[in-house]
Amino acid sequence: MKTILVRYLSLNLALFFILLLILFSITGAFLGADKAKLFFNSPPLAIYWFLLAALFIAGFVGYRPLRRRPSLLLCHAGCLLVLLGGLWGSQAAHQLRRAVGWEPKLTKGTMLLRQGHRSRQVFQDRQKGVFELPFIVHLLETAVTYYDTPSIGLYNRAGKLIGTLPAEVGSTQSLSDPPLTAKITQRFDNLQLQRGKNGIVGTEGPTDRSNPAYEVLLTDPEGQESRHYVFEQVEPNFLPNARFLARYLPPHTPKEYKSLLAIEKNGRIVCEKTIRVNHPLCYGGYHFYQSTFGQDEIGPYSGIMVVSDSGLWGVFSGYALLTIGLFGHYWGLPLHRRQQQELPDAH
Amino acid sequence: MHIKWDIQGLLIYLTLAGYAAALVQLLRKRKTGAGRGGLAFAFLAAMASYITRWVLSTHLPMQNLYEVFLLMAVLVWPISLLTEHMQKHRSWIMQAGDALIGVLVCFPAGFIFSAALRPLPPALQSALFGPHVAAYMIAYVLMARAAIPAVAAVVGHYGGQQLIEAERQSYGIAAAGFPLLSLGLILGSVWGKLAWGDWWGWDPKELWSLACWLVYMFYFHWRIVHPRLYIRTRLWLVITGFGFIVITLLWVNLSRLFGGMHSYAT
Repeated sequence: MKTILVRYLSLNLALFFILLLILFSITGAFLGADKAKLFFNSPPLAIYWFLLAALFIAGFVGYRPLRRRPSLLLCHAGCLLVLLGGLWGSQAAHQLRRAVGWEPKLTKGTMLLRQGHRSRQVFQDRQKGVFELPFIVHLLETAVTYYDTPSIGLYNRAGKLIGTLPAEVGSTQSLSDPPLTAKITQRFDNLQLQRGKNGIVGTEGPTDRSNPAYEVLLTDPEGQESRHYVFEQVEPNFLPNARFLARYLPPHTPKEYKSLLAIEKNGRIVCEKTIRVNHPLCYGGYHFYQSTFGQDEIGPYSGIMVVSDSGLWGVFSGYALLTIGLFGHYWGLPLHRRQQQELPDAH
Repeated sequence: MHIKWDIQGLLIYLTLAGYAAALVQLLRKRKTGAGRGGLAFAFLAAMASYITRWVLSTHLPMQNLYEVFLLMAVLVWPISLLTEHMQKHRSWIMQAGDALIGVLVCFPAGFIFSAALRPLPPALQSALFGPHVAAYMIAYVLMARAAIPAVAAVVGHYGGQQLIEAERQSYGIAAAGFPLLSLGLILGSVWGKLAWGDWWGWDPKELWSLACWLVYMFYFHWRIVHPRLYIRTRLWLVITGFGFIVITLLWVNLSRLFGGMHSYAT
């Protein structure tokens, strides 16, 4: 009688909890990711998660068929591990551990590093401010590559695009309206303009600053030449007597972002890795992700997202158990039964 | 409306014609195997179209709805043969259902979704990209197939042994698809951790996928709680699960109500 009651209760409670989670998920989908995150981390939902974990444990203890079938046991143990891993890695659990005197650990934050710079400071949010990592992160190098190539667009005074040419030294383009030949003659990493005998002339400036630009030579059919300087980071303006305007058209389809990071602890480099999207660096209980990339007049910078790895092994172990359990239960068992049924026929 | 005039588009229309011809044949003759030629032809045309897409895009064509619907058009017939073999059961209704699934996945691929080639964004350049999408697509086709006997039983007002047989068939296919549905969800979560830093981001598509997974989980638990009762409820649960898949695939992907991290998939 007791066994039947436990079975009935645990299974019906399981149905009830699954139904509730379906309703929560649909609600969360309509809320959007940010609000859904708050919703699923709210105190009522925290109670739900704990009760669900308790139901799993009660199921293991009180519902014998679950213990008898290894595949079912793995499925449920997997779900429980995912749940516990999620709870352990939650922001509330991080705060709780800090409150009871564990070493403070950041849940999630961002570092904005310039190439060649280093820092241990991670910005969390406006409320929590800055968190100091127990080690230093160096950004040795950062770069972005694109599927498309940059180009230089030539516009007439009406603002109409009259031609484009790849942003490479030596590339040439003949234009028909008006008849002109455009050629990129030089590229500068830090362009500085100086007034010379024949007008304004571009020269390469000091290497500690960045002002990438191109020199475009326009030649009309009479052989008259005019030089234009096209800045990568500055929007061009029409000069009063200029007939044309050249604009840098940056590539817009990123192929890969990457940053070479090094971790320094106690004065020596302990870890080094090039991080890319899908390839984070794992060190000291944190994962470092390539998050954003940018470039300004000082040089390139990289946004590195820092995320705590707490609870992750619980989640991933849970996934492994759940996968093995599900395939074992729904694929392995029927195949095994089928083989057993076919055996007598073979004899 | 995107009508495709290139070779790959024409192959999609041939696939659609093959599935439609099979459906008409099966509905007219009401005989198992009547539309086999149409199904085989549709599979070959879909395969040719998919391979052409692969060559043109230079990456695994599973990036957007157009490509995944094309993949489903390829999967319909092999999955039909496999489940027929596993269940040792063939019926013209199931085959007509296969043909209908084929028509339903080819139509948006042929007329609605854009076939514009897009380079693979950095987040999709992962070893998990193919397995994650493939697991989901195979699971979706299996779950769609599991809904066929359920719909037939509900619409046809089956009773007695016929109803039980339809549910058994439906369960067998849903049970085959459920581990793959779970694998798709799990691989997506692991990939999310590697790409975005979170193994769960509360994104609308993630939540709909979870809801969809939970509906099937509810169904499997329901079968255990009520081993001999509420057969019709079980069939409705399989149909509801399939409805959730349709929402996940179409509404969540296409609706502006659900903007999220998976928006590149549209």
